[in-house]
Amino acid sequence: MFVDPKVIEFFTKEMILVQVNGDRVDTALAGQYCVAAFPTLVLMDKDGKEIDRVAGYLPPEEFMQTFRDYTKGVGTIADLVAKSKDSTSREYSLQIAERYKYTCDKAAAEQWYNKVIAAGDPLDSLSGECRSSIADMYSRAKRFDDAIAAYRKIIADFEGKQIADDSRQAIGYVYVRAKKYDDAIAEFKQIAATFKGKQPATDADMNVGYVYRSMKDTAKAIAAYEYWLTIYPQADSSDIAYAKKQIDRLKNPPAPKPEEKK
Amino acid sequence: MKTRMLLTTLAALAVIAVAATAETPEAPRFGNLDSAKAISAKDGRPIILDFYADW
Repeated sequence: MFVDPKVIEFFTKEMILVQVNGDRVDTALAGQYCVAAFPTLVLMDKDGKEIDRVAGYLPPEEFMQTFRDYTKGVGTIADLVAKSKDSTSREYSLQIAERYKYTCDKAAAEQWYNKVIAAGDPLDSLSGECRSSIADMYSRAKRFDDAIAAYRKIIADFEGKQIADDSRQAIGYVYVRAKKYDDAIAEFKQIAATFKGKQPATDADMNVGYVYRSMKDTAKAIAAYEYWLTIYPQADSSDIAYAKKQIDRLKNPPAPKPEEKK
Repeated sequence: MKTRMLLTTLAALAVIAVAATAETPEAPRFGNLDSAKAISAKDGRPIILDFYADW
């Protein structure tokens, strides 16, 4: 959604904008460009050859400057890789890995993440972040067993840390992506039982509703969110608002978009 | 002359598409990549493919 007048002028005068509903309509084109997150904006030359891309949101000025730089070859992945020869910084390598992660070249992303890990302590937070990103890439690539094994190793290596808690929930998400819904529910219930009274249990019980929603079992999803509201009345207000919003959306689903009516 | 008119029309369409984006951000824009390449080949502007989701 572009509402900033300068951005609209930018697209009118400097670029040619093509909008693609990559989630529901033109999924084939999104697949061709390995789009893994929305929004993703791919800059290409007149022959359709990719110059570089931006995944996620940027403030208007930064957004426009990034693309202007890309057209001059500044700040592109190729530019960063060329300059990396002068750098021993793990953060710099991480920056390159993060950029590759949203392209088709996942092998390069993994290679740069591993470079970050190899250049420091494999058990420090930066390494944990890289290992988590690699596990997430496995999951998105439908390498579900590899993803789960990677997350379980993170849990073992980072026990007691936030990244271990996040990885536990992530395993449940992997099962959902794999459509192994029973395993996902079992995983979240196991977390809830193990961490009773703590945040991971609160999150896991909420995620049971997400599993049923993914299964399109509306009745069970509503029941799961309503149950969550009864057992966590003191939860964070944003979580309570989220659960209520999910119930409302499940009871009053939005009308389909015009392009879905075809 | 015909080429000039076509280019003017294509350029106008591009402007309309962008203007419409501000008001109707969820309007579909699929099928435009080939047209965009044709305009880009003529005027040299790069193309931005905006992959969005209507969640």
